[in-house]
Amino acid sequence: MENPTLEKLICDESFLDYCLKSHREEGDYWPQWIAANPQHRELIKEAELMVEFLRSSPTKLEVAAERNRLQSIIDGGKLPVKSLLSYRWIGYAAACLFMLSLSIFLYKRQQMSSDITAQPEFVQQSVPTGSYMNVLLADHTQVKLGPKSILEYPKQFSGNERKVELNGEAYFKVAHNENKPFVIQTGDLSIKVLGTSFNVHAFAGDEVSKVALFTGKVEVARGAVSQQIKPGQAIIYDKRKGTFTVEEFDLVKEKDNMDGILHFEQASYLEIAKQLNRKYGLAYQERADIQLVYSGTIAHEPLLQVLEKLTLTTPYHFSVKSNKLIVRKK
Amino acid sequence: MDTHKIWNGVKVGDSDSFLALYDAVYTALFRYGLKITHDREIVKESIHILFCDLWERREKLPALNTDPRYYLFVWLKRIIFKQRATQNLSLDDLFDVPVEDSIEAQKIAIEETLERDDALERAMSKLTKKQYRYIELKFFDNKSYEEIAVIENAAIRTVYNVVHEAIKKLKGSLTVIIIFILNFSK
Repeated sequence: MENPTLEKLICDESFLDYCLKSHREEGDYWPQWIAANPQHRELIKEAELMVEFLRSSPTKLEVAAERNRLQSIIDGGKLPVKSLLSYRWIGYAAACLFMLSLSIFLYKRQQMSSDITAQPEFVQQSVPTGSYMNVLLADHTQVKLGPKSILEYPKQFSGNERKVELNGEAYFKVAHNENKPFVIQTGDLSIKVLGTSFNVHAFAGDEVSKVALFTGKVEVARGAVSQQIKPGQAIIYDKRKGTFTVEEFDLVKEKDNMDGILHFEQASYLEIAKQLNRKYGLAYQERADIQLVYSGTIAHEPLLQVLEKLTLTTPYHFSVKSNKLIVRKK
Repeated sequence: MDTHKIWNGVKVGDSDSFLALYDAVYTALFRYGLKITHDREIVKESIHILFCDLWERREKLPALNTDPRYYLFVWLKRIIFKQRATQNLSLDDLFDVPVEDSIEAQKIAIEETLERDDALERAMSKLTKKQYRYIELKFFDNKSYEEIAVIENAAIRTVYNVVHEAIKKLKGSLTVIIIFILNFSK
């Protein structure tokens, strides 16, 4: 940045991202710029503090919603201690971020349900390989869309549900509204939420769905079959068998996943290839002849380094040629 | 605002006083909560719990000599800590575990928040309605210029210019406290 001023810095979106540390991947510019321009150190500090100031307020909408919530409780008269306690438990659960992560391996993309197509003003947002995009919905729900993901949502939510469709992966922070549940349609699964936040991974062409819930409450339904999960649990949906299974999951790994860090555990060639395709845009072939199991982490590393790592730890040689993944037996 | 009068109203179960207290301290509590955890949802929920508890125990509340806000701030902090201890599930918080400060440090943090809160309120009140709305969208809601342009049906350049103007105005009112904080606190 040339001739920085406080307002120029604060109005700069990459500087804001740097302040919020939300985009670790592209985060090199500002640390380098600050190191290279020590004469502006004071200015940077002032700008950072100002951003912190500006970020630290509740919106009027948030305050109004919270006030209504409280008022409905005191209007209910003297709450017996017991019911207040149980109420509070729900509060605790809803309070924390709740994160839900879902990987759907669908054979083909399902069409939107009819009531969504009935919405006249629909927006489709898609994200290219290797990047993330923040989307804000009309109800103030925040969505962080992952690489190669598509989100379709109405410009305004009407009716008694807030319904969106996802093909890909996304982090949702759903605005609280008990009267209007938030529903995410991913293929033939629907995920119903009352508030707070979660992750969804749902790519067309994948076979299994995973929903990992951090806190709060969520219900995953397929037709008449539905399953609720508790915080700390993940639900696996097998599309072929149509079955739900529930298991515990790793919090840190889920968090990393949304930051673009990949953890593999006993992963097959196809899983690895798909992830490399999403993260680095590599084309790949489905090859049944490649039998390998890989466990390890792929962080924000250059592609060549990743391929070298895979080559070292598997019986195959990984390389890239004109953006295609080449794998051959050692 | 006479917080003592309001406080005594709450003690005798006056719901108007209770909501008046809520309105008077909400933003300050919110900002203080955000200093403890970065998770806005946890902060909101904790404030909600705080006021539920407050209403439940209204008859047993102590008579206060000091500003009730100090009492509420300390209480809020305890709720946020407790929530984290029992739940310990928020992702953002996995990576920044809070440390319990000394009473003196707590008091300073509260005072700083209150001062900052006043300064921000004063500064924001000088903005035009439009500037205020854009600042709200850009910073409270963390929206991009593109998103604001869509919502407000304006050109991206216009959105940027309005935000830029607003920041310039805020800078004038806030520089003093910013420099104060940078120089006199850790």
